[in-house]
Amino acid sequence: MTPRDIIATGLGNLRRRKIRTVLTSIGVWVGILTIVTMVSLGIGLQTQVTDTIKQWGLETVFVIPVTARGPETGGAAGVLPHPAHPIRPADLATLGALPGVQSIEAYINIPQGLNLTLTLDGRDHPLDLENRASQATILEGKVDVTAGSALAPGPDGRGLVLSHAYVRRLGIPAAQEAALVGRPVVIHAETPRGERADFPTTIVGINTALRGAQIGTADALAIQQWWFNAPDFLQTEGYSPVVLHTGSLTDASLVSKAVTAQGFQASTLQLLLDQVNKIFLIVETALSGIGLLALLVASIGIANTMIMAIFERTREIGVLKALGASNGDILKLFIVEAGAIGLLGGVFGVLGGWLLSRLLDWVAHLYLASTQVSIPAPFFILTPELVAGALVFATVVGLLAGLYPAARAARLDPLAALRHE
Amino acid sequence: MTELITLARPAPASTNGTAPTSIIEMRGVVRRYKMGSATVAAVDGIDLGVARGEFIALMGASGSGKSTLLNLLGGLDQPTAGTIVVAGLDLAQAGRSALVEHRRRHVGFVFQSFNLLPHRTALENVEVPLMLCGQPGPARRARARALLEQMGLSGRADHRPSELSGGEQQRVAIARALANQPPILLADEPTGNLDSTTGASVMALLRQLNADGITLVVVTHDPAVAAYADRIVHLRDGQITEITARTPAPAAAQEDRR
Repeated sequence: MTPRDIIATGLGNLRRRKIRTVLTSIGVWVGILTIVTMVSLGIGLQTQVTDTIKQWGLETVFVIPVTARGPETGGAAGVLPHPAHPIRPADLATLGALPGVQSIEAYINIPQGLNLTLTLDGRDHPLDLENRASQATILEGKVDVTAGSALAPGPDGRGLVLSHAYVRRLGIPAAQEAALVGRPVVIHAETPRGERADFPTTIVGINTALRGAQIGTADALAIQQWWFNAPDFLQTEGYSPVVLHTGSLTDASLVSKAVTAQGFQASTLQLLLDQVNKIFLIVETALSGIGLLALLVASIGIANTMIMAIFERTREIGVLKALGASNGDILKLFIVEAGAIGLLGGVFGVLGGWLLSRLLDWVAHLYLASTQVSIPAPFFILTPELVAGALVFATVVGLLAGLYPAARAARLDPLAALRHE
Repeated sequence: MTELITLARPAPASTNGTAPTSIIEMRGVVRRYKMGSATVAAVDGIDLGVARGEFIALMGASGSGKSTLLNLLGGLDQPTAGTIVVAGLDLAQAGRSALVEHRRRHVGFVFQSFNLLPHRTALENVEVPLMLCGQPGPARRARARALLEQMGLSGRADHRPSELSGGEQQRVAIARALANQPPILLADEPTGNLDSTTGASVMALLRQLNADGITLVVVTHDPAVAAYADRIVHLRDGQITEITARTPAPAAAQEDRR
């Protein structure tokens, strides 16, 4: 028999038993639907997370000093971490000179526990200062400068960048926003005990992405030195974090090793990305497990249906053998039937999974919209690989389930089969 | 076109000028079955030669071994001992794939209960052996149509077996048995499920095929059916008791065939 005839005959046999075929395939249907929905959720979430990480830049290496209390950079109010090996100005030069490093940024945590006001045009406004030293802020805050420039990233960076929203709160209309750039201002700091100091600086830019304002590293250093009464702040505490930009993932990984060799803690987003991917793989596998269980049950159903089909068609098998069908022909006929049941379930499973994930995605976004959170990206992503994989898997489940019944049908003794009533 | 409507392969002219060699040659054929602890010899030492183009009837009571002998000739079963050479192939020694080839190319089966595939039309039933041999669709449809036409069934080609009379079903089955132009036709009680008139017309058809050159082995317990044969082989308990030649003499039958 030609493969075409085997397929046509197998499908013809299934068509004769439409209801049974459909009922048998429902198990596969449910299994594939579950797997498709769960894995597309996994892929969707993974894509959201990894896209964000990639936007930040995988070529970036974060360096922080090792502290006795662990790698904490936030700095609780009024307490200094006193790292064993602070990143001093001399270290900055060494780090910046590492092969592969293209540029270097150095940050200092903004002072905590101080009452800060901004004096502009003789009027005082509360100053809402954002920490530049967190990874997320460092990576996200560069964008969306609408006037002037971003803060200089190096240790000598001075000045203030105000957010669009903060300028609104100051009562300055958008049209006059640009005129603020270059204006000298005074940051007025007051401790809870009432000690006061003024720090003159300049507005260097307007940024739409921020909520409050950001301050240059040199200005932050000046405030910290006064607040902690520590003129040697850079010697005892040093910069944290320091950010090294490299040109490639390979460089990032090499630089990361060199930094660790110098006794600092280095982290790249690639490590984070690897970790995230690992976690998602586990999550997707676990979620698919439910579908696999359904498929296991489905394969038993397919095997059962095919064994029943042998009993019904014993005589027919005998006739076919008498007319010249080989054992292989009979085997292939039954395998094709079982595989087709699997594929049928797979097609409906993928369609159902697609519909279900569309529906869940729609509901999720509806819910998010009601809570004012905006995540435009889809939570469920049905990739062509997932569709193809699901169809192949469903077919393979059918084929495997059909192996034993098909072998049994093929081995039937033609004489006994012909005598069968 | 002439080739398409050839019903059976004509006996090839013998190459060395001697008489046609036998197409079936059985020597000491034994077939034993295990029935629980006992062993039963369904066929117990048969020696028989069948000439190319001959019409043989196997007669005997049920259990005489006639059907077992037919199944052995058809390659559906293999002997416990002895040799059966059919169309040059020793069926006793043949492997599984050689037996499949034998069933496809050397023999056509006609059953008492027709054994048409119920979900296929008459045309599709005739196509089955051609399909099993891997013939492409258009060629096998044309061949099946021509065969049905020869059987006088052109109008019934698209009918299912359940829509056909017994005689029509058996003629479809004969067309199916002839699909691959086998040199031998094996029929097991071909008229057993038919009334006497229909049975006679089916036998006339088989007789005509035999006259066109096909070797015919028919199992029957009906003397009227056996009367069509050149030779009648009587069996009892798996052994040949008597071989009778048909009247008029086989010579006349030989004349008919030419």
